[in-house]
Amino acid sequence: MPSDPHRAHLAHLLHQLVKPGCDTEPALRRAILDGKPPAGALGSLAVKVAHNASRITDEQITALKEAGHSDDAIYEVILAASVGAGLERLHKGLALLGRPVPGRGGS
Amino acid sequence: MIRLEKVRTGQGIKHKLMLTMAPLVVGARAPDLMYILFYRPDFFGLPVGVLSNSIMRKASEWSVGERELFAAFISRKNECRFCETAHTAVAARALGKDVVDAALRGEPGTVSSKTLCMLPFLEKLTLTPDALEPSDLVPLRDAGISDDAIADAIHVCFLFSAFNRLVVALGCEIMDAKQLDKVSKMLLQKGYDL
Repeated sequence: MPSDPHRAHLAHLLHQLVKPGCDTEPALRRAILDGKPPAGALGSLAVKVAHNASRITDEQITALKEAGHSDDAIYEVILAASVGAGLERLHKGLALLGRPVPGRGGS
Repeated sequence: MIRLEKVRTGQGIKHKLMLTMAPLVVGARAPDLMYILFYRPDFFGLPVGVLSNSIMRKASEWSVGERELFAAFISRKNECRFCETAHTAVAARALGKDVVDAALRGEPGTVSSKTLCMLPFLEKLTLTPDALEPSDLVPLRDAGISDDAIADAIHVCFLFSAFNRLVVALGCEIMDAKQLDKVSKMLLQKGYDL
C-alpha cells in the first residue's frame, strides 16, 4: 500500500481544529468535521456551509451574533464545516482507490 | 467584506502586523483570505498552509501548473470566484493563459490528455461525491493515469472543497487586478506555507 505523503500534515490540521480551549466544544467541531452536525443554530450553519455556502447571508451571521454566538464560535464552525466537506470528498475518492482514509471518525 | 469583525480588524500582534506589512511585502492590499489565515493562525492558517504546500507543491506526477489548473476548475464548479480567479492566474503563469483558458473549456490539444481526462472525475467528486462509482476510474486508468496521480488530484479536490466554502461563507471579496498579479506571482514562487 503506497504511503500518503500528506497524512501527517492533515492529521495536524485536524488535531488543531478540534483542540480544546476554543469558543465551541471540541465535540461539536469533531461532529461537524465528520459531517454529523447536531441540531441547533451552529449545526444549521455547518449544514449550510457544507451544502450551500453561497446562500449564507450577512443577515444570517448577524442573527447568530444577536443570539449570543461569538465571532470566534462562528469562525470555528465555518472552518470545521468547510474542512469536513473536503474530507467527505477525500474519503469518497480514496475509498474508490482502496486506499486508507485519514481524517474522519477521529482517525 | 469579511463578515466577522474580529477576523476583519485583526487580533493579536501577528495578525495586526500582517495587515500593516502586507501592502509593503505584497505590493497590494492583503487579500481577504490572508485575514482568515492569520487570524488565530495555530487553529487553521499555519497547519493548512503546510498541508496546502504538500498537496500543491511537493513532488507529484502532476506539474504545479496542472494542480493549479485543477484548483481553478474545482473552484469554478463550486462557484467560488475568489479562488477561481486566483488559481486561474497562478496556472496561467505556469502553463500560459491561452492553455489554461482552453483547458477550462475542456478543449483538447492544449494541456496533456491525462489532465483533461481528470477533469470530469474531479467535477463529479466536487459536485456529486455520492454518485461516484468504481467505473469512474476506468477512463482515468485507460488514459494511463496512475493511482498515485489520481490520489494527488483527489487531495487537490479535498483542499479546494474546503477553501471554496470558507472563502464564500466568510465573505472574501474577489481580488483586483493588482492583487491578482502580485498574489499569483507569490504563490507560484513561494508556495502556500505561511
